[in-house]
Amino acid sequence: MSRGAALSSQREASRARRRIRFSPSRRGKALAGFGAAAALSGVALGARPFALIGLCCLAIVVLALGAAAVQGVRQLVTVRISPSFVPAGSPAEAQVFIGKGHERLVGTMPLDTTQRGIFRDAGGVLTFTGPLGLARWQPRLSELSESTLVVHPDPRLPARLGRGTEEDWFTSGQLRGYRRGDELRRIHWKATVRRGAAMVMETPRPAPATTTILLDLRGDSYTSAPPGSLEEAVSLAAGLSMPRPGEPPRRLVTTTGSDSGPLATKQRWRPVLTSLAQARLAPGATPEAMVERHPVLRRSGHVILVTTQAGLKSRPRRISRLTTVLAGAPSVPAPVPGMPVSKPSDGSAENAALLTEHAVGGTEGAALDAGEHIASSSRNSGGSRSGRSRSRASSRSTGATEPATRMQGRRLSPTGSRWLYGGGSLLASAGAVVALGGLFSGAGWIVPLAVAVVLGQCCAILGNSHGIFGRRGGLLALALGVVGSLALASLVAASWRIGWGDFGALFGAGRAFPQALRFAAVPAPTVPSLLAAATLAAGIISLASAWLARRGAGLSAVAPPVVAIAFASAEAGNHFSLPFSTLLAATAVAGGLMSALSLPGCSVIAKTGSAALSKAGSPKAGSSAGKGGCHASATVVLSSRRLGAWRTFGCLASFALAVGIVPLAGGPFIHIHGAGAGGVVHVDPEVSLVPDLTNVSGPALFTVKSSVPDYWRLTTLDVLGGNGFVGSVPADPVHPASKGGRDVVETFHLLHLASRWLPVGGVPVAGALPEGTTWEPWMATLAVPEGEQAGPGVTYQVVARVGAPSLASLFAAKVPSDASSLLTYVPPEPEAVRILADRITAGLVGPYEKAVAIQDYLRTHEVYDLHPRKVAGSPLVAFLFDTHEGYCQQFATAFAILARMVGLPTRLAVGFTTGQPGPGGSYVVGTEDVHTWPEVYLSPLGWVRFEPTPGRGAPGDARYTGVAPTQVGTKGPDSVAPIKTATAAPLPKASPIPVSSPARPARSMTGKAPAGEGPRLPEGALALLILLLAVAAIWHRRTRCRRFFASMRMPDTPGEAVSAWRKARKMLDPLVGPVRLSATPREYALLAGSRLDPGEAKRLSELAERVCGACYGPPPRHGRWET
Amino acid sequence: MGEPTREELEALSAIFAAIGAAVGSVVLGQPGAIRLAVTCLVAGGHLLLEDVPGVGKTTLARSLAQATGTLWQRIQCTPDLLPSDLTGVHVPAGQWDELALDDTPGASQRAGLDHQAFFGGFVLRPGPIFAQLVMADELNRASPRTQAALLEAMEERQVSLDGTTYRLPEPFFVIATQNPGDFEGTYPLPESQLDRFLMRVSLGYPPAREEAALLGRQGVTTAPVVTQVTTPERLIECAEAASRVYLAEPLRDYLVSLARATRDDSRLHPGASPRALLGLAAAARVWAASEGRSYVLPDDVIELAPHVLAHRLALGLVADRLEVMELLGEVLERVPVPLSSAR
Repeated sequence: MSRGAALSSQREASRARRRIRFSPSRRGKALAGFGAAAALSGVALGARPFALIGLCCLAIVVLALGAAAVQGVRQLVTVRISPSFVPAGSPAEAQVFIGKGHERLVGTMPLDTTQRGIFRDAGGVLTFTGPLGLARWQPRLSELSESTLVVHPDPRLPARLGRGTEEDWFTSGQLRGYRRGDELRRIHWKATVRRGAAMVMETPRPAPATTTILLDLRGDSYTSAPPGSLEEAVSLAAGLSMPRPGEPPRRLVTTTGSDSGPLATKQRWRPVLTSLAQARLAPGATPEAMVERHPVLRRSGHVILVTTQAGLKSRPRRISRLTTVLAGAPSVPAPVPGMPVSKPSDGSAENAALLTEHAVGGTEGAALDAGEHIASSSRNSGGSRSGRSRSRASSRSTGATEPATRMQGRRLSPTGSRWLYGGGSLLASAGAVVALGGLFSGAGWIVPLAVAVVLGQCCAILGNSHGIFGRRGGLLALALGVVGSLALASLVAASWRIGWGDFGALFGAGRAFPQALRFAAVPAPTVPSLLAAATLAAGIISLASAWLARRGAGLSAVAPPVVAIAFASAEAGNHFSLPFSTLLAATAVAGGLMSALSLPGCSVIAKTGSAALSKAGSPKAGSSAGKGGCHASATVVLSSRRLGAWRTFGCLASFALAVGIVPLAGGPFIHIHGAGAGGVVHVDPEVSLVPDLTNVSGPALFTVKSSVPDYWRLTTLDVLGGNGFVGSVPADPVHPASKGGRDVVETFHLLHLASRWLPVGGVPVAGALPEGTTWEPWMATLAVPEGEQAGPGVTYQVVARVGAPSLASLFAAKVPSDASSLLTYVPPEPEAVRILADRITAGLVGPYEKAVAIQDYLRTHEVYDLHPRKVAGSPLVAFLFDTHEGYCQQFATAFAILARMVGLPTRLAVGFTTGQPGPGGSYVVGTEDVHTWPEVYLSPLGWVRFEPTPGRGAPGDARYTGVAPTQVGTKGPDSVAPIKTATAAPLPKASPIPVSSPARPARSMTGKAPAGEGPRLPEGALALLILLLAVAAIWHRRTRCRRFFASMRMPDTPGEAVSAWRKARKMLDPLVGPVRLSATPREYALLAGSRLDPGEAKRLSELAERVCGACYGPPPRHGRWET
Repeated sequence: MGEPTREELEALSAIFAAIGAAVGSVVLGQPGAIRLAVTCLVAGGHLLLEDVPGVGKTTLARSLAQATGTLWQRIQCTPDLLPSDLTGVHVPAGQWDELALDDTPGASQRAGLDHQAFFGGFVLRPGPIFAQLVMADELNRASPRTQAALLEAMEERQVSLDGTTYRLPEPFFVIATQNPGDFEGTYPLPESQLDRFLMRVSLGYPPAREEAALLGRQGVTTAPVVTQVTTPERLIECAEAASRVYLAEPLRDYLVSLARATRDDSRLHPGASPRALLGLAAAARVWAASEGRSYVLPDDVIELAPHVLAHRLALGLVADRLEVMELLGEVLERVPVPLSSAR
């Protein structure tokens, strides 16, 4: 006794503990995880707003949990059963109310009852989800029935239902004799025995007279019947299912022979039924009249059997043929002969809704169907009341558990898929967090990562829902998707930004993937459409896949990264117009919230757990599953209508919030005002170019004819003083002539330019020049003698060597060890600038990569503006952290200082951009083409030009700076025409250019392109190959499955059978997913058969029989089975 | 002695089908319960029917008896039912009556009977238990003593009376019924005695259509008679054939691990006993044979385990029943079905 008592008390305790369980929902968990990660990474990255956002997310989840707890504890959940007295085995309805004073009906669900009217639910679980869907609580219905189950009180009934004595029933006057039309289940058997006549228990209220109309659709029923009798039967059933005016819609149409008919087929019947009903329901025709008049209607109790002359005699065999016939019927079929056609009434839509098939469930199913078909109908039973809730129920429940419910009898737990979704959500959230964090810290790999995570998630969802990868392969799909989309994005970006040949060179340098990733990562501001398109595509793909998967889980898991991408693009697109950015950000936020809120806010999911041992599908089910029904597991999801308003309000509020907040924030999200008053840098180049730059209508300064457009350099500045770059001194290193470049003939004609320095592109090696012109290598300038000026009318021709460094050599390039310290000198500056420089170049090794990173940072984070706002303090700090506005001087100077901070020898070049294309392959350069750009000295290559200014780009540098050229004329860079120009100004006149006062001779190029620069297989192609292989693998698995079954010979010996079975299992396991160990071969065949073609399923079950015989049968006599 | 031949199996499944059809013509809509009952009968076990009154328990037993041609008796158990009411009593032998007529002195000597024989000559007047199919209605209403007497007879298949042991007829099959809802004035069967029943089956309400068909026969006053489809001798032959159904080595292991799993589960207080296991194996054999198979499949075991094991694990309380079913389902789901390698 002691042990039993201890056990029961233990059970009580555990029951009390789990009476109401509060937990964050999946979405809540995702949000909480996001919040925690965001807070942590925000603190780690020093981005305070980001950390705040994370904390806010956490707080929201905690608040939601608290609210749910309060709501769940305070709100009394009351379950009322109607009708109040539930006779044995009859269907009842439990209504679930929330609230004490103002009760609110949150849902109803059908129940089965025991013999004695005692309510028993067999472990139903109610799930309530909070309004935002962040928290949920799950009271168990059985525990409710102990605590708060309130049977509707009726004064005329004894207080204790089911326990009263017979006298109570007799004296309460609720027993009466059986009349025709009474439901058989209402017969009170005990009283019947005592009175000797059938007695019926009168219910206090008229019970919902559920009339079940059984439509006989079995295969052979109509073969011998007169033609048209099927249509007649359908129309009769449809007509009977119409409610009379003022009558509640209580009739349900069920069909026999639906064991193999999938739900989709039933859906196809609906329009046929509806239209037939409209044709059939003649004025004045009541169901009763029809029943009385029509001889083929049989009525027993409240079950009306609609049959034809053929009757209910044969087994369903040709259902598919019949349903095809039905499906092939025109949407508005011809009226039944002899029946008057009435116009569709106004309530036809309602009527259509009423014509919902009510899947047979539980004992009712047993009642309506022959014993053999109980299983099938109860298997299909949804028990939902409307198509909407049915679809929602199926979308919720069938996703993970559908294979399980198809499994007969015992169920599989959907743990595996839950893990997958948990992991997927976690990963997606993590990706979003990292992406956002990267955004705030200025790293550039946000977009590809987020896109990859989204695509990976989509792959996983799609693969899972279509069974491509199997359950266990979901994570593999996720990983594949991530890697594949990353590779794809890199490939696209790389092919767009650099040529294939250079890609090969990159590969040779061993830095292909990081560089390609970087190319993919940094959105080129010159093409905002790329970013927008990527964002849009990711969003569309994720939404489509979520729709395809028909799962809330997919949507909620995908939503965060989508929001992150959109947000990132809005943020990165600061150079967009403000309204556009605002709109983008607002749309992102509102879209994310809407998708998060798109799931039903409050739902009741009642799962009536079936008796675990009822062997659905076996003929024994009806009787052996025990009494009290509960054959079927019904899932009902009902959402409260009220929450529609909540949802709308939430979306509107979030949208308004987003629209309102983002403009206030004004551009970039993060502002560092850490620069102290000690800032001493006053960046102001020697010459302010603003007057020239703004002088758009000014005269053309000079024209230049060249086969290759270029930047035309005047001079360079490399001495950084307290007020900026102030000039050049002869210092190391000098400008070497690139051996790898090519010689270009450039002819200049000065129009309105008067200068000591002559514009030139590249490094001149020879030319016909004005008298006394010398090449000053330390300034990289062609200069006329001191005190003179080259004025208008001067024409000169140079043969310039234009360098074309290969990417491989750039990556291999180093900072010269003997570079003058002057070139890396930086005056004292605020710590924030140095931190920024370090952050931009964090994790990068080579000088080239660092320079490109700084360039990209400036191009994406600052805005080109000829009239930057003036603020007090250091112009550099103002430019980088406050105003974010500037023109080429600010950009170039900021680049130079940041680059020098990370140790790159940098100088500033002053000159002109290419200019406007003029006649005859010439370019007209005006004042607005004045430009400043930085150059970095890389060891074997010399000075390499970069372009940090948005909207500009040097022709020919796109291959390594990643910046597309602008202002390039209609003629291509490699136009053939200029050769003639060169002959017009004959080259023989050219003479070597004297090099003036050499500080040091120009160094010869010692470094060649590193070995291994040969053409190799591009990494992108490799990624493509991997993707193709993955697709091929999936395809292979499917075809292998098909081929296996096509070629499988039924084994003759036990050994063959077992090995064939092992082979089949090995192949099918990934397709079927986790199967519990206790599955017998027959069960496994059944389970796997649901995923295979009918023919394959048949062969599989045959194989299962063989293997059963092999494993469990007696040893064969001659090593072979007898046939 | 080998596995049953194809002919035997065919005969057996034919008998199953015939009995099912015959009984099913009277007990409508309960094919599963009928099949279980016949399985129980052939497997040599006893059946405990637990259900509310009026669902056809007696009809099932009677029609089963009629269909199989067995001699059947019904005992309505009440608290004052005595063991002797069940087993019968010894009465003096038949000569006693004749001798009583002759009351002259020395009559016994004249008749050649000694005193001992005269007074010790008792014969048995058999009670209702001396039948092939006994139905004990509302067994839990009988006193524990009577229950014990019946259960001893069930287990031993013999009755001991005043030191004499009488064999009960073959086959011997007891269908006991219980009302699951009643508690007052009942003596719930102790678990040791529940263990004697091979299966516990609930009939449940018939489906509505069958119930309607039932009402259609309202005019018939006497219970419909079931045609006899077999004989007790054939049943014994069937039982013998079914006992030879092959139970493979891995399946034996499976049964044992099933039992061990129930024993290891602390929530199922007494696990499945070896007797339960024997019963389960016997029932599975018959079940397999009824499907025309000469070997047992794990599916058979899984099919029958709830009916054979549940009542032995339950403590007899209604409230716990569903829980026991659930737990048993868990066990069945947990224990792996072994797939032997080929021989």
